[in-house]
Amino acid sequence: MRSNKKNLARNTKRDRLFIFFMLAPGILLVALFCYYPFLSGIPYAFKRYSLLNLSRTKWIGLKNFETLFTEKEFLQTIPNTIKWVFISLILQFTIGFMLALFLKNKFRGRGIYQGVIFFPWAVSGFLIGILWRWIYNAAYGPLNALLIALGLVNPANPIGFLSNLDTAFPSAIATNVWYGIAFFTITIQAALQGVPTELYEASEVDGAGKVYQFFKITVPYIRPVLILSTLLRSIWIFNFADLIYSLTRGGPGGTTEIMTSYMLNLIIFQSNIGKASAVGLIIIVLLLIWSTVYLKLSRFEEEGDF
Amino acid sequence: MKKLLALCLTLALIAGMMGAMAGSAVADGEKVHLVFAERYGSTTRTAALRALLDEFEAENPDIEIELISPPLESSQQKITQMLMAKNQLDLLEVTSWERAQYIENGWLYNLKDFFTDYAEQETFTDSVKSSLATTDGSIYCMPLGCYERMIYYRVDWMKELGLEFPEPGEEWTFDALYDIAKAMTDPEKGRYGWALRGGGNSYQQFVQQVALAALGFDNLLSEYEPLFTKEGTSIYRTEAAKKGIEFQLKFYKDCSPADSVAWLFSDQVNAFSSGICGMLMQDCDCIGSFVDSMEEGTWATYPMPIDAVTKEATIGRGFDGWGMPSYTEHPEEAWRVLAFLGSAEINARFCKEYGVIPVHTTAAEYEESFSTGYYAPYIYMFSHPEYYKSSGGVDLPYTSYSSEFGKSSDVDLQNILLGNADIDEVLEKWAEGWEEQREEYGGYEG
Repeated sequence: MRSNKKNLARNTKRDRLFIFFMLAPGILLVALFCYYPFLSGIPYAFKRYSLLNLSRTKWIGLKNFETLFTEKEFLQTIPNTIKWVFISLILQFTIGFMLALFLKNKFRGRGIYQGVIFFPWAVSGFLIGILWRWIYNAAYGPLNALLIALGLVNPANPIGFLSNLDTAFPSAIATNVWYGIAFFTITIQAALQGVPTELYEASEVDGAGKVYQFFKITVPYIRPVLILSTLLRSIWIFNFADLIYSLTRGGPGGTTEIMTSYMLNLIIFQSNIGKASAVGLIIIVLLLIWSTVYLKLSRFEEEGDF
Repeated sequence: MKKLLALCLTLALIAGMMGAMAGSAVADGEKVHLVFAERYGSTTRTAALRALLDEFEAENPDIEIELISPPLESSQQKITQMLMAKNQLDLLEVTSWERAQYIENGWLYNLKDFFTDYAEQETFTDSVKSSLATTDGSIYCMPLGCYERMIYYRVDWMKELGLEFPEPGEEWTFDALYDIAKAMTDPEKGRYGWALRGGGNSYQQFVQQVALAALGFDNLLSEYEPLFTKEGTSIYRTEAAKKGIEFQLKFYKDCSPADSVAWLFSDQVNAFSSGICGMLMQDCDCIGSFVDSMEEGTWATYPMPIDAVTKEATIGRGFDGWGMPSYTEHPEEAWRVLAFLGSAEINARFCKEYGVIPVHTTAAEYEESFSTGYYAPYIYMFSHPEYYKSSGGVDLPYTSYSSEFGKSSDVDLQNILLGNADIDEVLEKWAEGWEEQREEYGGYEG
């Protein structure tokens, strides 16, 4: 008996060691490439630190934050970011969910259709920006050409999708929605495959309709996936500055500038690492608050593991 | 079996890593290994530079050069990171945009001693000679080429509409340019006279050019500080700057597609080559692209216009160059590469391939095209100092603000063009920005 216990203890110890060694490379990589840059970047937010003149680097306390919150350009990014995240997320989720339900059914050419839907997800955000910049171009873009051919737009007055103050932001969001639908379609479709068909069969026997089945079986069953995927996607959309950069560079007149693209501009065009780090820190705090509140509100912990 | 496979893979990985480490060190016999970072890489340009470096290696078998060419969008960050981390780097391209920053941070090697015995500098153009050294006499770059604006126009459109440019000189003004652009514009036909670049340093389209021309060279603080007036205040406080913005607005509203408010360089160039816009203002690096994409005889180039009242224009001087980091362990070998690239013949060949203005007065002896054809407007501008004054060219610390200003002024100008901002408020903001920078970093004291 004692020997068994000893063996068990030794095994547990060995198992722990094994687990540790298996996890070590992952932990090391995340620590090195994620947490270390993040933590080492924090002090810069409280410094005057510009690559244009490193000899004038010094501690300036909260000055970077003060400057940011008095700048019209930065303040404009706050409502822009909120709209960018929520409108994109809701549309991506709704359309993605609908397509996932549609693709659940077997039909001829489903594979090709899936491939077409999933394709945007495989393209880089930067490339998508360049591609849609061309599509939206008023002078030689195919979208205007199509609208003109359909007689919906006057050839002498094509729509400046990215140059008009009213249409630039919706156009950027439309591009983002086009890109992100695939993520939800893939994730939700995979989750739907895990819902036991017996549940639908049993509910049908009990006389449940499609809408009832959807809200009482489908949604509750894949709820953990929905919560986590929307949370992850909201964070990714928040950080999706590469699309803004290549599509509009935040223009015209800053109307499409979001917090992360503003941060990118501070680094690329102004070499102002101090101020960019301050924006970065604000972003981290906002995302932490958002993640915590979202998970609490959605009672994620009650869902257990999945 | 699996263990054996894992072992083989591990050994292969270790061997690969060791091989890569050995490759990055000097070694390879007696050869000195130099790392060279190109800032404005492109397929054709990198190939042209590589070909010249191969030629150099053939003549100098003791040196081998590894050319790295990061993607254009991130090359500035990549090179800055290498300089900050003191990664092995022995040669680098230094643009006029970044030079002041690099010098200020002590990242560039002072080439002054090397230049003492460099005979090739005798034939440098006056513009290059006057801006080669900093105010304390240091030299940080081997000049590679100059950029200057000129007008590109559609010859076929001009003929079709019966339009003609006034002869360069007193009659060739910004107003004359506007009249031609307006006459070319016919939205019903999908034709516009002007390709405006509203989304990338658009203040360089008309605002700064018109402001400097209208203000007059004699009213500038000095030839080295063209952005300030004799009173030491920003040129953006003057009526001339307002005139510049009004010109930009006129060209946008009457002669350019509405979409051009957000256009970047590529949109502007495509609009010209695809037959949407009849004219644009650009540096000479567009020549290559238009030669490839447009039929010969359908387009040509013309000198920059001047102000109708002052009868002059102020053009920027200065150059992009090659340099070496202050920490290079092979300064002698790196200098040999710089001396090679800076020689008149090699420079002329590179500039022809790349499409920039050569830095030697003798360039046409090696490449005839520099005295004729598409480059001819430069010859005219350089040989008519009564109309074209040159300024700038000295790397004052505050000039590095240009990069930040370029981005923020784009936002302001787009708002003005779209009727969303007040011209006076914007000019006040710009003036304050430049004056603060000059006050903090100091002006020219040479």
